[in-house]
Amino acid sequence: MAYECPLCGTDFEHADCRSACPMSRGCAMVRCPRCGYEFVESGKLADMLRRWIRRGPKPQPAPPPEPAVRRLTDLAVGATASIAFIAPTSASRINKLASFGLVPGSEVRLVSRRPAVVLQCGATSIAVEDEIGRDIYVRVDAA
Amino acid sequence: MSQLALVPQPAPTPKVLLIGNPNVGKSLLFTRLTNRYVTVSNYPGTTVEITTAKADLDGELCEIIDTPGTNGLTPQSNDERVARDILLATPDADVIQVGDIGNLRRTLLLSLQLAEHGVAFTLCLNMSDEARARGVDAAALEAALGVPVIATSALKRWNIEKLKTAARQPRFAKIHVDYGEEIERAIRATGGSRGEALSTLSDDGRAYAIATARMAAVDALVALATESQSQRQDAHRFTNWLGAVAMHRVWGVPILLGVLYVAWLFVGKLGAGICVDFLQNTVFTEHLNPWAIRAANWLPLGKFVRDLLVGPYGVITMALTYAIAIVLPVVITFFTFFGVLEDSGYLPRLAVMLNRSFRRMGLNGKAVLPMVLGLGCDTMATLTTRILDTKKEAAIVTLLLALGVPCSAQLGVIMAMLGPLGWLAISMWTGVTLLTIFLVGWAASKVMSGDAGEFVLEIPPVRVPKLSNILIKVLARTEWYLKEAVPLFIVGTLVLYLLDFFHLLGALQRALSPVVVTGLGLPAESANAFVIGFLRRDYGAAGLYAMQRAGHLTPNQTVVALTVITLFIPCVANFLVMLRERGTRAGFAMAAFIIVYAFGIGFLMNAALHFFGVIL
Repeated sequence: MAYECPLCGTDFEHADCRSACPMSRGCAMVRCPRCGYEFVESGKLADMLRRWIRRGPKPQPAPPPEPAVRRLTDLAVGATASIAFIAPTSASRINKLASFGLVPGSEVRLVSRRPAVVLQCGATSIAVEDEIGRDIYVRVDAA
Repeated sequence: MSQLALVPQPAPTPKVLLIGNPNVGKSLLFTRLTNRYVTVSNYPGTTVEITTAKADLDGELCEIIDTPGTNGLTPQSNDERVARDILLATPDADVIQVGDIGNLRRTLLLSLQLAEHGVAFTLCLNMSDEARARGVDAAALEAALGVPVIATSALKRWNIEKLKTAARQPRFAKIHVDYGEEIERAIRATGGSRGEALSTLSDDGRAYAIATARMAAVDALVALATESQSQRQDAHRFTNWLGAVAMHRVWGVPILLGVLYVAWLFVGKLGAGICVDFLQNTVFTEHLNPWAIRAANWLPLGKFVRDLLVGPYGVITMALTYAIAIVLPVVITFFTFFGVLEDSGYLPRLAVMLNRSFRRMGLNGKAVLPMVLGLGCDTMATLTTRILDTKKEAAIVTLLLALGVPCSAQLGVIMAMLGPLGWLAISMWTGVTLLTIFLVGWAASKVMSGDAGEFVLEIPPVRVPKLSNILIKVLARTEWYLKEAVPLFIVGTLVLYLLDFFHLLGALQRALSPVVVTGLGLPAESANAFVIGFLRRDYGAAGLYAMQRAGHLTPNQTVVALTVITLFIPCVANFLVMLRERGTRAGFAMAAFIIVYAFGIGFLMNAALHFFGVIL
């Protein structure tokens, strides 16, 4: 087995142990014959730590093209968009939302998504349930 | 027709109607116009009952009618229905529409519907003292809309006199929205008023098209009346930040805990601790009661009358001591705290935080207002269940209020009794009560038919509460409490006194002993507390408090007795309101369930404490 010392860079073949060491058998440490630095070659915990320390940005798939119209709940918190349409579930819901000024064309800002969807429309803040928030579709302007 | 309406009708007392969105300072404006107090609050929909008062407007005595806040004339809740019905039922009234000058969109949306209903009105743009009012041109709006527009501030008393004059000369708005060929044809086909036709069409599948056309017209008006970019909310204000944090999914929790802690300090420590100690020990036990006893002995009264006043079940020594010394301080401190919560705008934010938990009980976040108000007075809270959207929610909240929400009067006594017993006793009582609310709510939501309404709630801006406003409100509510509770305290004492006088109390205690002694493991005399608990459970709790102080209740017995009395029906008044609001059958069914449940839980607790050998 070939090793490379992480301290001095020496390549060596055998991890020679001192026979006087009480752990001379069955230990995970490797000792560099040149500088004497001891390091862990491999092991579950060591590999995990290594991966964690060396963790870089994960390769990400290219972002899908953002749809022009999407659910209000898919907006980023703080983003502004204009209402494209509201899924026509019941007349009472449409009327209730309309009485707060929420109709197609109104500009809304998503204030928070949890514990309830809170949105701002002009000078009015309204809290609605997730289900209602999902039924409101908005258009984000390219600008 | 329009010429005639411009001339004030020679009616005996002309009527003036206030109508407007919720939370625009309408109630305070009503006070300013009439110099008479009504509840002013920040939670949408608190003005459930209609308030009227006489006032001098432009040299003539008028009757001013306040209506519940409404967002439109196609009603979405009982409140809004009330507002529309009053408007349509008083066609000869001069209408003042009150709106928030910082929220012209919502204001004008309602103006438009008033116009479509053929109502002449004066538009009052209130809250013009706030920064958001900058850049609104009232004159331009008046020119575009065709009705008198007055910018006022009810808080700072700006332009109130001007409004009083203008209110008597309402005009018809000259705005007209074209809804497109199809809807216009449908409107003509109904033959009625344009507004009514549109309301019907809105409920009939055209909601979408009508709402969109209206909003477009309103947005055009808003653009005319405001300078560009001026109606922006100042995003950096501290109160805005606080308002957002209070309903944050993480930071909202410590804020809620903080609010609870301050409530405990203020109501529990100051009200139920310091004030009750002072009033009970110093004022009543040391001074007032000995004087009253001396006076009663000195006066030539028979034994019957003397004992009636100052005996062990005397009106002064028992009823007034309980009502004034033990219960009143807690009621006052609670309503002060509740007033601050109400006026600051915290309650709607709490509704947002608790919406999910309430969903499991077949309710939604809107039920927070009656539930929290129930901690003050369950009877008042049962009345406010009218703001809920569906009958199912109203029924569940009524049941939970009567069953598991102790009112402030009772809560004060409970805190005083549990405090010395330590955390295990406190958490047993709290655990059983909370579990009851949750489980019974959950079960009721499964058993009852119907749906919970949808959760759509306006979040008003956070405002610093006005001290004077809170004090007036506390005063009004305390007066209500005194009128409601003290007579019942006296009646309860009389019942006990008569039972005692005719030596029936012992018989009653023996009759109840299978339940009280065997079942609950309590001393026989605690039957007294349950008897008067039928009248008011806080009074029953006060009776238990006296027994505990006299050393007649062990800690185990205290916890069992308190749990039973907490789950009991709050008071006769609450029971009557239950019958009125929910119907006789449902009311009696709820009461029967509550009594069986309360004693059943008491039996179980007593048995469990014995079984596990727990000594608190």
